[in-house]
Amino acid sequence: MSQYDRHLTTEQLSAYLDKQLPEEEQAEYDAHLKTCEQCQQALAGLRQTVVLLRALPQPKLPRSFVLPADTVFTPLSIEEDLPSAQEEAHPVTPISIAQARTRRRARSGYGRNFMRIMSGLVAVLGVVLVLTACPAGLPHGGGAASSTTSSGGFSSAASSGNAPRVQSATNKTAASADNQLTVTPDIRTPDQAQLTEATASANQLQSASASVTQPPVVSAPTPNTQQVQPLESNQPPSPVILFFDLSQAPGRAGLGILLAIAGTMGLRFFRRRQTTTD
Amino acid sequence: MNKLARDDEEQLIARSQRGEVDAFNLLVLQYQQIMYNAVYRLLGDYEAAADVTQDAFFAAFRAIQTYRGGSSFRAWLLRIGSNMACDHWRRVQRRPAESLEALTEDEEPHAPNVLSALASSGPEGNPEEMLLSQELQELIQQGLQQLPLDQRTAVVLCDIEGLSYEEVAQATQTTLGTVRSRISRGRVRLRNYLQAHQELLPRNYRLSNSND
Repeated sequence: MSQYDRHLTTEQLSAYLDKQLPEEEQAEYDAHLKTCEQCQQALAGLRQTVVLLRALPQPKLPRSFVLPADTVFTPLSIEEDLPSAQEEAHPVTPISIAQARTRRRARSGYGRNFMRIMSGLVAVLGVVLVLTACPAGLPHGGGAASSTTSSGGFSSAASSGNAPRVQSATNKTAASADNQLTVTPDIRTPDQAQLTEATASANQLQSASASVTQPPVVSAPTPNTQQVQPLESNQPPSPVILFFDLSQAPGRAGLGILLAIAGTMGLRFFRRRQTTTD
Repeated sequence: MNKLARDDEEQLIARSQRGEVDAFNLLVLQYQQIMYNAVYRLLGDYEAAADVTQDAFFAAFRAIQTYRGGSSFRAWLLRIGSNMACDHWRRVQRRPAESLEALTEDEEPHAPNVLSALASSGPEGNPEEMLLSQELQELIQQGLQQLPLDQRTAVVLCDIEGLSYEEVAQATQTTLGTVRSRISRGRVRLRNYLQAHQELLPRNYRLSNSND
């Protein structure tokens, strides 16, 4: 006579199959199974499933997974957690380096890609500026074509109208021999100054142009249509450093070269950071 | 490859914890088949399994100092591997592979030539020597991929990799009770899946049906 009025659950049968029960229970179930056909069949079904699973062949190794000999050892500290399944991790669980790396790789892939794209754009921008500077020619002065590109808003303090761009403190430029200082107020394109490029040089230029409000300007020898107030010298207070006069070819060329360099550097910088071992 | 003696393995682990890559690589050679196997069975994709396996070994090397002696190193490795596989699965959210849709969708009798191919060396009574046909293997793999991740992991670790309940608990960071429950539910669910498609299997592979 069976000791059980009801049948064994699949969980019990499963554990019985794996001999994962304490001896007592194992024996009890044993006894029940002897007399209960329904449970016997259920057990047989479970057993067959397990047999099928165990019969699955091992897939052939596609290659060796040994780590490269020059792998850098960057150990997790004891306190940090192993990579844990996200599903079970509490929100406050500190993320292990490996898990963070996995996420970071996914995320920084996008971040890196974004930076690469931006660097590329900056580089292209720079090249375009240089190109527009060339046909314009030096004597031309650029004129209305100064804002061909979206990088308007930059003003340059060139020692002479045609002198190469000078990246120096504003005070210095004031001391240049020629008094032909050309400064164009950036009010005409204030938001164009907000370039989306996040490169360092762009930041520099941005902060330069952003802080320029109403710079005292010096009339340029070139007949351009900008609002230029004739002044002989550049006022020291403007802390801005880099000004490129886009109305003039050299200004554009200079800015273009600068951007091209920055873009190229950005491209290389964001490409080199391949995750090798980590 | 000969199974490493326990002492040897402990030696290698200790050296790995000091940063010796070549020592760790000997462990990799020892466990890579197991890792790849488990990850493949979890994901059903050979390429993804290779990627995840490689990542898992890198992660394991980095985390090697967190391994405490005395617990199963195999379970410790598979914990990393299965976690990363599950993460990958959740990221990708793949549907069951299309390769089997033709087989399972309509439940029609298969073409004769395929059926005869199924009747290869059958399990003439000795389960240990059972050779599964390609189609049956794929069917089981599909069944695995239908399982919820936690049940799938438990079943793969226990029934395919042969881990004990304790090791499975260690690898999944859960209790024995949870392990037991997940394994049983996974098995039942897999069994139901196979039964639903067993018309496609040759008679000697068919599961005994309690409804028969």
